[in-house]
Amino acid sequence: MLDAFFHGFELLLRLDIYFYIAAGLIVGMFVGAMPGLTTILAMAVLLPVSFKLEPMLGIPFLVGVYKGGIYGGSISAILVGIPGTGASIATTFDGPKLTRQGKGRKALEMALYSSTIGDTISDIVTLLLIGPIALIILLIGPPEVFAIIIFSLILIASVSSGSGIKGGIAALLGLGLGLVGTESIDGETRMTFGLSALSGGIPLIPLVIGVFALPEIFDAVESRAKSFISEHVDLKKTGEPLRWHEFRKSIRTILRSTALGTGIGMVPGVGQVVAAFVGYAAAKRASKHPETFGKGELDGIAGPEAANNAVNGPTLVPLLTLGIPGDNVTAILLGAFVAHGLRPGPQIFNEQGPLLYAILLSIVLANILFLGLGYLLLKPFAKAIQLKKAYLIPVIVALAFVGTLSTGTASDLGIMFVTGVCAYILRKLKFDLAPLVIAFVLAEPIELRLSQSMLYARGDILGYLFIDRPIASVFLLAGIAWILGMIFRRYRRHRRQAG
Amino acid sequence: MKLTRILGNLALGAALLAPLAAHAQYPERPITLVLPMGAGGSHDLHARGITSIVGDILGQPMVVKLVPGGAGMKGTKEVADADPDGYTIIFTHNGFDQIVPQTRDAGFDPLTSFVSVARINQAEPILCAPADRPFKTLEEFVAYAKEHPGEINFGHSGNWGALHIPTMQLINATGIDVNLIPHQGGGPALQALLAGEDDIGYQFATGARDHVKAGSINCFAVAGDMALEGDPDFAELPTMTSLGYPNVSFTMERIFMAPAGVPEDRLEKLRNAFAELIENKSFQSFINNIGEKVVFQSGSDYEAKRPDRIEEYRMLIETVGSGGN
Repeated sequence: MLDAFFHGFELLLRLDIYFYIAAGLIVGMFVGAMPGLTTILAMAVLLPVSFKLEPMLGIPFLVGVYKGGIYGGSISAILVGIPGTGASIATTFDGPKLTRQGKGRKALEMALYSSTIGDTISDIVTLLLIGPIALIILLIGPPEVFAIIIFSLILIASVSSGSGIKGGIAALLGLGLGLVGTESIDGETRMTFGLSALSGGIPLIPLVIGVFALPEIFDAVESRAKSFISEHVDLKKTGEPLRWHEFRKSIRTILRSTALGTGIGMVPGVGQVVAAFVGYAAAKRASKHPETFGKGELDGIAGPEAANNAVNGPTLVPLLTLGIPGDNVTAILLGAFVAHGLRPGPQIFNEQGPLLYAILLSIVLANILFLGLGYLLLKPFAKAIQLKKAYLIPVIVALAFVGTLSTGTASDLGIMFVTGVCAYILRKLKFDLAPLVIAFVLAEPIELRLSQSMLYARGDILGYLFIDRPIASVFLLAGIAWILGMIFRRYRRHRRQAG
Repeated sequence: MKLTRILGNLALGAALLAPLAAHAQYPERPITLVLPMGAGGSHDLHARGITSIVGDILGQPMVVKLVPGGAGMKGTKEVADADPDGYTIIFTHNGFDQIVPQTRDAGFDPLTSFVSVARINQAEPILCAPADRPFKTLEEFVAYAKEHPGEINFGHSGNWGALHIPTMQLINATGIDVNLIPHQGGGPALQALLAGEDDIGYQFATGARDHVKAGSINCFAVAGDMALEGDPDFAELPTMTSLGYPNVSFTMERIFMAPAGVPEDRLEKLRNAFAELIENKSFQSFINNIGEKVVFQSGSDYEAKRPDRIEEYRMLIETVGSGGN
């Protein structure tokens, strides 16, 4: 193995690899920063390019597109409040507020540093522990995925701000919206109200733009766009860089989120979106001043950004060791492998060891390029938002519409508009809409994993859970314990206040 | 240098004027290729390789558009409703073309809404089980399943998916009682076999190969009546027909279709382009690299057998009911 590893290292001693990684990163950042142009789509379109390159160039190139894309998604999330990808939804809680306080540049830097740190640590962990991680992945079946999602939801809900009842209603709404479209088992269409546009389900990007960006625009119109801008946006200071003492405060958050993201990366089909939310929730929970979250907190950037990038390492493991892609991104990477006659799977480490280690090492090295390029591109991105104040709202409107349209069909505009109006009304009624989006994203995996678990249990749910699936039962019990703990603490606080 | 530039400009000018020369030059703009599934599957991979070559043959790029959802019916309906001008075609499989529309109100009739352009290849499902299970042949499996009714977890790729149909055919043919577990595609079904959560399930040769070599799963039989001749690992695998189950015969066929009513000359042009594609060296090496094979059938030949197939699947659907769960 060590021999293969060092041979792999030798394969990396050529410059053109880094050129292709850099090209991939730049393309990815621009695509990711455009709302609606998803990283997955960019990778699929660029896949034939990798067919024409040798694997040692083509695969790192696609990995570059992927890494750059996730960071690009955070750029638009921070600057204009429109998440470029699902992974950067949690970044919109604090990002745009930091931009309005004139801290856009600081937020972008925080996102860059936490992303690269999270990514690098998780890649190195993956490289060193690929065998054990592969074993763990086979232990995570439908009941475990279900239990881990439920546990994550409880964790996220326990730190959500505002009324618990309203949060619950928003989550139920999100679950309902998430079930619209195709039933996960039968493929039957349901709850589409006869609209064929909904037969594939409500698309994520129009919904997210509708929920997060449109209400802001309506708010701006309502409060007279001009005064909104001059009151809330101090664009002159947007250029101020992040200071060391500000970054230092977030180091713990970054490391915590990296660990969480690496763990969640082992759970198939959950990935970046959940990791980002859990990273945010955990950061808020551990904070000495949780009340600043959602109002422009740099830690609120570091939490989700480190977590969503830390997912990257472990998601490669089932692809490399079993030949089974866990999501669309790894499925496209699989395409890049097999087009060159390399079939990832149990044999590849014996047959193609040096090449595989070289590719894995290039993924680690890509993070260094990522840091450098991200830093260089950060200034123009931060500057772009310093355009004349009066243009900001039209730019957000244009991005919202273009982003929605670029997903494909005109009906998505309608979906964005309807969700936008509903979201605006709900926000006026003081609903926190984050639980809605989380529940929307998780509705399908919850339903699928629950129905699969029930089928495996063959009617004996408790027996199956506690005898056959100890890991799942631990997570479910931990979730229940967490809820009881919260109730108990609240009760004690009440008694203390009363007495 | 200068001369080539002039020539280039002339060519460009000719290309720009060409559309004016009356309905002669199809295609004159890019062709949209709809895939009724998400990114990253085997169809997506095939499409990326094919479009990068067939575009050169047609003289216009072919652009992939992914329209997943509704068990493939969202994208299929979109093409059924599209203008039959030859600028929108679909890359699908026989399950989405001939089976799923019969299980629900899809809003179109496969026979009157589509016409075949080409079949590129096919893949036969093979029946596999984790290596530690007590059955090592199909016969032993059927006997074991009859002794333990309802206890076998039989995984498949989702209802009416490519691995579900031969599963239902086998259950029908043997009368065994199993616990069906749907997964979202063949990959997750393979993972459940490797993890030992499922006791048995179909896979395609490309997915199963390395795991058989690694000793983690065993394969018993291939669906249909054609052995996988020339396959380095599965050539010896018995066919379902040879084992006495001729009705377990589903083969997934990757097909290109156009909306019905596309002008005859344009359909001809598309069919010829695909016939030329399969002779193309870089296409052949691409298909070889991804572990598949070319099993070409011309659009007109494929079209001729569709009505019988649709009827055959209608009867299968009637016998197995609404998905068997």
